[in-house]
Amino acid sequence: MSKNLSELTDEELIAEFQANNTVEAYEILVRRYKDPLTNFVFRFVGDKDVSTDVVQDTMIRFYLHKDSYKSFAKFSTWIYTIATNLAKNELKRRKRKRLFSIHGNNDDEQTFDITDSGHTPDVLADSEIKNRIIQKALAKVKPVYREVVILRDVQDLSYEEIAEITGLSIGTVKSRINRGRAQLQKLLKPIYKE
Amino acid sequence: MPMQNNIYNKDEEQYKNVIDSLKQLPHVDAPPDFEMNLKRRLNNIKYEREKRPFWAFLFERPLIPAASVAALILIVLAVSLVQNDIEAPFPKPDSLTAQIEKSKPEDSVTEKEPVIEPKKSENLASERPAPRQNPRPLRKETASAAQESAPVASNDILRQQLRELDLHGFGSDLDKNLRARPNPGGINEYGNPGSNVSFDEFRLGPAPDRSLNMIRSKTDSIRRNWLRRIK
Repeated sequence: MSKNLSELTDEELIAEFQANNTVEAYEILVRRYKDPLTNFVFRFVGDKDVSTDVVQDTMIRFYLHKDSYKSFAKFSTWIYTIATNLAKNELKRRKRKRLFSIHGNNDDEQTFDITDSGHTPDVLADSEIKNRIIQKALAKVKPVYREVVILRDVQDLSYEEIAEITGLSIGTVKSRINRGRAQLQKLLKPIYKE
Repeated sequence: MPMQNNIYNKDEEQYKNVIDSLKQLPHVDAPPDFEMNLKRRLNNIKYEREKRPFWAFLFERPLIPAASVAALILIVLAVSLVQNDIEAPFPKPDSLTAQIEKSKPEDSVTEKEPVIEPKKSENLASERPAPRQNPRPLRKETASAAQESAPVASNDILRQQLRELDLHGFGSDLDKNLRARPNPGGINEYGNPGSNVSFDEFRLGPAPDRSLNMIRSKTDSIRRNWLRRIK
């Protein structure tokens, strides 16, 4: 039964979870989406612990409100929409917190866990620095542009999927992606000159 | 459509370095204990839902208006109960008639007359209420129920007496008979000397006494007429 479930598509799994409350189907979906969602939220928020919490909240919402998913939509876009909204809420909450905080903005608190890619220490250090700079630049891009740029260039989603997740038209998505890329290019100019 | 694709490919070429940089970013995965923590959180949520205290359920968002309305109703009920506990300054209609029976003066019929009376008039005499000892009621009293029910009760009595009275062909226009025969004592229902017909201001409760006097005088006249007829 378990083997059969793992062979099912996302839409089939959620249908099974909705119809028979099969927890196994839910667990398979969690396993499939926990990593891509964590990566997306981390790139959007810039904090590993926060991104883990946001993804867990997303999964809890998925569990509690499974019936709000309609079969005509793709499961991936539905779960990404939940994660995006929660990530935006988290950003707003942090912004409010920063407004009333005495210490103000502290960018140095950001932590990065980079997986071992088998490079030499020099290359690793170099790429680590580069990644940190890119992440900092990404954090400086306006959230409306950042969101679509990450979905497109980091998560490799199609324009249609991004439009569905964000609730925007495809044209708006494309223009926002280009604006976001332009902002990033401007911010990363020193790296590209090298 | 192919033209559009070309346009966007051009755009992507323009930002090629940015796109490459973003694509080369290392993937950040969820921590190994992600699923375990998720299960723990889900179990906590389930447990909290099951063990929710009664008050939390009562004051849950959709029930707040209902709970406040219920509280308001309880307060109104409590206030009305407290108000009902206040003693009525005037006696209730039943006790009032009993008091009247007790304080009934001697029969207004002259003692010289013979005591041969029909049974019905005897009953009437026993039911006849006496004038009140303290006829002037307090104006600022709040228990209006006792005051208002008194005239109603006496009117009922009057109607009942009229129904029971066998006038033996003497006519049933009591008012006319009363007007023709004023009170022989010349004392009004307040014990003041003067005319039988007097304006008593807008006092509370003069009506029952006046009607009782009317009944009294009427029964007297009926009795006298009846005696004359027997003779």
